[in-house]
Amino acid sequence: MEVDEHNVTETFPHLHGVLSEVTAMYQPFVEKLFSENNATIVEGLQQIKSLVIGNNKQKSNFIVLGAVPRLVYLIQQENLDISTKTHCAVILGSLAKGMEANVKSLLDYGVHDVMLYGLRQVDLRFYEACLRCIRTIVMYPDNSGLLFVHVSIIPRLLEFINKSTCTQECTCEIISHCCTSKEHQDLLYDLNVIHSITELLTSKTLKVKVKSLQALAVLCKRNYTTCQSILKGHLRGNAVMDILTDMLSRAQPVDIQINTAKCLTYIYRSGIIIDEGVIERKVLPCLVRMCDSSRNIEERVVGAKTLAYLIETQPKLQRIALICEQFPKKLEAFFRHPTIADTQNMADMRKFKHELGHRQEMLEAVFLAYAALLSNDEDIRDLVVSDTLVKRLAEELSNTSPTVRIASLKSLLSLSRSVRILRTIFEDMEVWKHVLKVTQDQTAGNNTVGSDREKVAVGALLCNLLLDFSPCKVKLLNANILQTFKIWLKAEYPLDLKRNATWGLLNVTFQAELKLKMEVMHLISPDIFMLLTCSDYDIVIKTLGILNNVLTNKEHTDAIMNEYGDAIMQACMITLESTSLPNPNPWSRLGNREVSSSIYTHTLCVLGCVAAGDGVTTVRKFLYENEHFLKKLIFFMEHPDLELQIAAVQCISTLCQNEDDEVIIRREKMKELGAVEALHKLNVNCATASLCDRVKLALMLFQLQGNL
Amino acid sequence: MDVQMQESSSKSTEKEKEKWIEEMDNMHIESAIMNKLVMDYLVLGGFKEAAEKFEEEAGVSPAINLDSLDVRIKIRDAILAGQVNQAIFLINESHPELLDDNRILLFYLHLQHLIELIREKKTEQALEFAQTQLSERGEDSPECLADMERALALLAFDKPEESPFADLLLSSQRHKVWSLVNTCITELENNTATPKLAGIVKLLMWSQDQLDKRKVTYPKMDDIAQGEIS
Repeated sequence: MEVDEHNVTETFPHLHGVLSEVTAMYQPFVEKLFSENNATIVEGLQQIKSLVIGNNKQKSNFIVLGAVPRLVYLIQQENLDISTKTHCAVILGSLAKGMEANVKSLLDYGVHDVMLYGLRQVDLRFYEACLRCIRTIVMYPDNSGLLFVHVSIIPRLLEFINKSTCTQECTCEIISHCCTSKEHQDLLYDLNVIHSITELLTSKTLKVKVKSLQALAVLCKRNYTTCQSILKGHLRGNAVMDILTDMLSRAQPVDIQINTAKCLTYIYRSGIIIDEGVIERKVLPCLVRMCDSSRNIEERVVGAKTLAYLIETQPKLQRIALICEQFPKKLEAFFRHPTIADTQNMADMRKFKHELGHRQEMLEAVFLAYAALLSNDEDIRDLVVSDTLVKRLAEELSNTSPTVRIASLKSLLSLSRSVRILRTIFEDMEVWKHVLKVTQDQTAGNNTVGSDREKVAVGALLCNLLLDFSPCKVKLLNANILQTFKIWLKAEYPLDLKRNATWGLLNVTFQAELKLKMEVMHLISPDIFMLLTCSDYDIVIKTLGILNNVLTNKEHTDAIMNEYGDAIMQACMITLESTSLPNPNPWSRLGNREVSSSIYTHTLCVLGCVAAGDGVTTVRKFLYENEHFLKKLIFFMEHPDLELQIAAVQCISTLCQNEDDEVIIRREKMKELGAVEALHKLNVNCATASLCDRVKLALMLFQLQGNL
Repeated sequence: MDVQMQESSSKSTEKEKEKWIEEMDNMHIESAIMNKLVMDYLVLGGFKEAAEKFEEEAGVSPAINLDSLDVRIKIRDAILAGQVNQAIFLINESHPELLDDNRILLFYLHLQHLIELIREKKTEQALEFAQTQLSERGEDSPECLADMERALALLAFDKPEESPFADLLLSSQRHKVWSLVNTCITELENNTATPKLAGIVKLLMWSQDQLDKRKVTYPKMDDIAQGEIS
């Protein structure tokens, strides 16, 4: 069979226009691949190989000329010798190293499947060529899932990992790029991958060591099981952790140091208990060193990002970082790039150009480092924060890169935890205007890439900007920020965003005016049932918190209950009767309490607020005439949860204390329902003085009956 | 008084130098270590025959199988003989990803091929080759562009060997390209790209430079090749 232009355009009509531009001089090389003579095929393959390697134009030429399907066909021929097949695999591997469009074409022709077929062959050179090609393909972000589509090949990969340094390097790289979820980690773990990879840590080849560290980092990120396995692992009599610790030494190449630090950071953050001294005195200083301006851009970016991840939840590590090798000065230097270049010096110019192309990554990394460093300690904020930094952070909220904007929002969130900064620098720099702009862009749907993550980040910052003591609260409310929250409460948005929206509304309603409270109730009343039946514990609790906040003043309670009373009481009913409980988050401070007890307690606080309303109108309509609620109050007094008992007693006290015309009737009814007996029982078995005092007060109120 | 001080100062420097040389002479470095350094130099340089002889005479085993040097030797011979395409073919056979990952290296191999065509007075072929193979890299990288311009400038002269760019036609140019290729291959095979001996000399030069910058008086090794101290 011969390939001519007619044939190719018939098979690939969409390529016709492109083909006209492709020089026909290379067509004879492709034609050789269709020869009956094996020697001619090999000759053609060698010529094509020499032409495509290192030349992107030629790669595209040969794809357009139809070389790929023929190469795929040749590899699959049983009677073709293995060295010819190896030539084919090498050419396909080289084609994959061209532009991204080339890789797409290769995948369209089924190259990935053929390469996986190649991995089942025993010839090492052919295996290596196929492995390299797969490695190149999966390095493109969209293709990282390809390996786990064919899970059966993974044991083969691990079986062949030690055949050569090439197989060691490529297998590690493939794992680093393809292992992107806990399922992937667990699947690989079951195949004993940790043992296979840790064995490579003592390889004599630097590249193998580096790649194995990178694979190990990916395998242990947020995975307790794999980290546990590393912690317990031994290699030729030495603990794997000791080997890793030694690899942090300054005597080791920088690539080894930085990747080991990353690996140990992930192990530490997985929650596993390891030697704190290693983290404080070795990993952290190593990462700080990597942020130095003398290091190259890639090292500084990885150093800053990894350090941010290491210290973000640990105030102690944040304090150590502050005083470690002048870390804040190293961060400041991130803004002074690219470094000035001598235009006559080529190497200098190349470095300048390289740095210029990495500005966004540098900004993202340094902002994340600031976010982590400044997240807890007010003293650190005082030492590090300046007007210039806040101005820079605010300005970069208009950056075209979503990741930079998110990092900037995280930094501003850390700073917004300081009342001083919130009331001074933030106000001077009009940070709220920049944040509002981002919010509006997000709501308008202008940002599609990573927009959910960005909304969550901006939502978290807004929560703090809307705190009662924040000077920009009124300005944001005037800018109609409540409508944004309303949109974010919708079902289609992620839970993180809804949580931040309810949190924001909780802050807005704290000690607010009636008008604002009414506005918030108007806003959430259509979604209130959805929020209270949400699977996220924090959302339920914060929604109940909003109800609590809007009912904190007698006058406000009556006005709001008049308008939204039915909805509020139904909401309380839902939380008290619901059988499916929400899931608490790791940060939810529940202690030993049950989720249900916490939710009931918050609901009783809302009912307590209702009980403090006008006796004749609010209390009569919503509590007195609803025996179910009164019975629940008495029932909860007998519940083993202390806080729930206190809330129930407090609510009963409020009902009996409210000085209006119907108080005596209410007390009688409560007595009839068994409230006094329950209080007496509680009085005998009082767990704390606080509860005891409340019980005694409630009993006293029942005894006052005759006096009124 | 001043003269006396100067005299005593120069005397003390002389004493220091003598003491330094004496201490150096007393320093015992095991011959096994020296032999290893030499073997490392021979292996990384691709001097297989010398390495084999040295192995026989000194009884030092090389860190790698010397047969693995064969491919590198073939590549070296091809480059030094001006057969660049053959060298590229050999590189692609032994290290298929090297020239795809290191386009600058490929550019310099192509540039050498261009120079060989000019040397052989194949002007038309040289021009066509420059247009089809070299232009892509030249557009992307300014440093490549400058070197390409120098090589193409040879075409403007009837006798390129007498032109200002004649240095490109010297055999030292081929050695430069081979050195580049050798460095890249040894790096790829994860042998350190530079021999340990070269590293030691660099360290010596750096240390002396640091001392000079701080204006410290010390016995300086001026002639490194001969090991002479001033």
